[in-house]
Amino acid sequence: MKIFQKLLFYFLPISIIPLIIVVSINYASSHYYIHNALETHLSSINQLKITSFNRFVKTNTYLLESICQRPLVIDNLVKMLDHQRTDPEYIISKNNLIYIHLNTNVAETGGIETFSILHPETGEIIASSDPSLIGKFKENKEYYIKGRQETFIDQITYLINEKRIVLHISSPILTPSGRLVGVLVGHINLNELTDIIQKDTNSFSSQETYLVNKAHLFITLPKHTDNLNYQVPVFTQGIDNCLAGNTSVEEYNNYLGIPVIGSYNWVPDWQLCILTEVEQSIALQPTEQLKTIYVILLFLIIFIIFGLAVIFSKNFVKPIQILNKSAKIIGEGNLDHRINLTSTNEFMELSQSFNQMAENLQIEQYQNDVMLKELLHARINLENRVDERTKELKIAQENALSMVDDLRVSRNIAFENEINFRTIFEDSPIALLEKDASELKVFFDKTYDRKKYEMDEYLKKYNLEIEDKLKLIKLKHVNQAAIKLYEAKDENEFMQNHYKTIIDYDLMLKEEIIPILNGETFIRFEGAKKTIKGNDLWTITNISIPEGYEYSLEKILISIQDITPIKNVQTELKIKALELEKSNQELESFAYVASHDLQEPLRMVASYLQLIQKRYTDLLDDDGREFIKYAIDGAKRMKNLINDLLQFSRIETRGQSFSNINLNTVIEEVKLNLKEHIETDQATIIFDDLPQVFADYGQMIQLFQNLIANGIKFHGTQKPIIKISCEEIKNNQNQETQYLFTVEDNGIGIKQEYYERIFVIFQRLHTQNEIEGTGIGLAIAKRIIERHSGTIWVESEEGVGSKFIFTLPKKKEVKNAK
Amino acid sequence: MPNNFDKKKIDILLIEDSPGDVRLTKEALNEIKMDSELYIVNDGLEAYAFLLKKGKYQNVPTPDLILLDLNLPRMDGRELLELIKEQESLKSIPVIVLSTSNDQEDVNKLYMLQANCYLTKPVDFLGFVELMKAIEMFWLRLVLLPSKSVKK
Repeated sequence: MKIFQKLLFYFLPISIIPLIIVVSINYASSHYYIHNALETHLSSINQLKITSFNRFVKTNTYLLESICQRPLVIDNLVKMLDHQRTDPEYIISKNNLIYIHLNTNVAETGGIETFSILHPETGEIIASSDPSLIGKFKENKEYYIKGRQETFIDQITYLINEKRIVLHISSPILTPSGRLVGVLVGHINLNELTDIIQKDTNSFSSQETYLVNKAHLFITLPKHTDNLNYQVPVFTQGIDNCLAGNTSVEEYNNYLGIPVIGSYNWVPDWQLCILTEVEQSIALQPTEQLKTIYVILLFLIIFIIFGLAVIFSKNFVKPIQILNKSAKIIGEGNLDHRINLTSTNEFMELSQSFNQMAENLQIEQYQNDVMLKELLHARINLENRVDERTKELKIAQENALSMVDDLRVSRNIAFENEINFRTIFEDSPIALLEKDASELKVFFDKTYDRKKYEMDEYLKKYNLEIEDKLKLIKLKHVNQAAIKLYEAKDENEFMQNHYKTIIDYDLMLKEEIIPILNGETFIRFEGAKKTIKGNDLWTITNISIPEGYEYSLEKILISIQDITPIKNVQTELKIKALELEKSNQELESFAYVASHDLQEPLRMVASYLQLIQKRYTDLLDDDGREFIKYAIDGAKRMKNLINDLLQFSRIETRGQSFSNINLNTVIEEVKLNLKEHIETDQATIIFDDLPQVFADYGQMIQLFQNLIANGIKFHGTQKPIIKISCEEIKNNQNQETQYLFTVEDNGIGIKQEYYERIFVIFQRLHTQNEIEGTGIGLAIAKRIIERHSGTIWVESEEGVGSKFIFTLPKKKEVKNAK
Repeated sequence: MPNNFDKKKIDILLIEDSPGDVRLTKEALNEIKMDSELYIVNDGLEAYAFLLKKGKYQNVPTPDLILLDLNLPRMDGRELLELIKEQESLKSIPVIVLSTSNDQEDVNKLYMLQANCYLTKPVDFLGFVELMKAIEMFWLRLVLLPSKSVKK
């Protein structure tokens, strides 16, 4: 019955704890509510009492004040003060006062018992409703002193001798002009006060209200305390707290020791404490009843839950017991056992699964039996095979031994090869070094786990260590040529100072070491080194790794070729070329500026000379006219020269960008430009199918125009015939394909000594008179071709004709293209 | 043929700093007997003041034609041309550029700046006279110029 117990154990607390909490909260809140209502009730009674007592006092005060203000009262008093006591006016006035004004206002019960009028200066009672009082002096009484100024309410006083509680009220009697003519004092007997305090407060039978003064004495008697008297001081928690000046509601024991709920108020006007108390047993009776109902209800619910839990758990446990029993049976080995449960809930499914499990167990047991048999069989087989393998291994070992012998033989052969190699190595005219980088290789393999060596990272991290690491490469041999190249005394010095030759370790690592580590077997590079003496060296280095050493790197062969002289020449050439280019540029810009600025003054000279010629020709003689003619002529030629110079200078500076140009179109355009000359001299221009070139279109026109115009200009006796042809050739220097153009004429030809001169600017072979021209055409042609990376030269025979031959590159990229 | 014969006189503004060229222009105009009034200013700023009728140029007419030299002190011809062509009131006046340069780049640039035509100064006087004749023939006889009322 374990589950049953557990269910009860959990169920009960789960249902009961919240129930208890709910009931408790409910009870507490009810209790709080009742208590609260009670407190409000009690404190409101106190307020009510205070208010009604105040009202009582106030009513009497009004009465007193109204008497003071009566004109007749004032008149009589003035008369009394103004006359001797023996004067009839004095006595008449006194009697008037007493009988008309004082006696008539005396209350039978619950009001002012006695009215007295005190002399304003002496405090003597000069008139009173109680004749026995007349003639008494009250000059020390507070109600006299304060009452002269204004209406005064004295404190409630307990007169022990007379066993009376009294209260005095006083008020000044003033003439309209403000003269004090007397003080009216009212004497209230407060024996009626107990009635006021006790009146109408019977909500509970045990409730009572009473007053206590500062001396812990009762001012009004509590309801149920006839045997108590006023003189005995009382001490309760309520009275003590109240007299300390507090106002509150509390639970405490009253003057009889009965537990009460009491509300107390300190009334500062009276210097008294008012308390209203009710017995707790009576006031809290409703809460007690509520408590009883709740407890009964709680037990009832617990009983019901208990009953339900018993029924429910019994229902639940039964199928589990059946399952438990069946599992025990199967556990004992009876795999044929099945459960018969007729139900529709999860227990039915569980029993079915259970039956299925039992069936599976039966099948598995059978399979296990079969496998066990097979395992035994396999073990026997394995043992047999191990025996066979052992035999085979023995044979293999024997074979290996014989192979080791073979290896020894081949090693001897290799040794012979090594000797041959040494001889070649030593005698080679090229500097040769042999190094061993196996230690470095081992280091890198360890550090880098055989990944590809990406050394940039390594360089950053271990920059300072590189030198040390590279010292892991051992220099094994050097030949005589190497010793000489590196300016070492002997092999020994070279070996020791080898690292002086390295200039840049990073570069060495990058260009040599890393490629080798990554499996390169041949590296060639050009670079700067230093000899041991510290001289600069420029070398081409070939590094090769012999077959078989690719992984160990035990042997690395290095040949070093000294190209220092070549390098030096190259450097010099570069500098020269730069200088040349610079001076060329300066010259060009100078030429451009100069020619441009020269034009202006020249134009002035020419124009005004002409103006003179035109206007003043009649004033000159023949000589004068001739001189002017020459001057004009000279200016015009100078203008042409300047224009040519300008044109010449613009070839480089104002050249257009290159594009693919059809030269046939170019020649057609040139023919158009030279139409006049061609017609005049009846020239013929013949050209083959010319190719396309990558060139400056404008300059191509200028080039061909200058060459063709020259051919026409320098014609001989025959009509000029100009032939233009083209063929492809290979450049001797760089093996690039070029076009070779020939412009051939049948003109007067050129002497060989002038072949160079004709291409120089302003160099002419003829006088102006013979043939016009500035001598710039060919210079421009040459410069254009040079800009296109070509060359031009002339071949000629005097009297037969000239051939102007020039080359242009076939490929599209042209150096210096602008 | 549309013409400007009935107009009384053509106002030409010559902007030129070289006195030699100014004189040459005057002589050439005399030579061809062109019925025109020639106003001369020596630099770009002066020319601009003239065109806007500022300062001492308050009473000058708006020219019918401008002959502009390029190399001028203070403000050169290209800048001036740009200013003229930006001004609503001036851009309709034809500007003829006269220059010694026959550099193609210069020519292209000036047309980009909306020069109405670009002429190279001839090296000799006769050439100059011919040029002036050509200008007169084309710009003052053949071409219809905008009315002055357009130029506010």
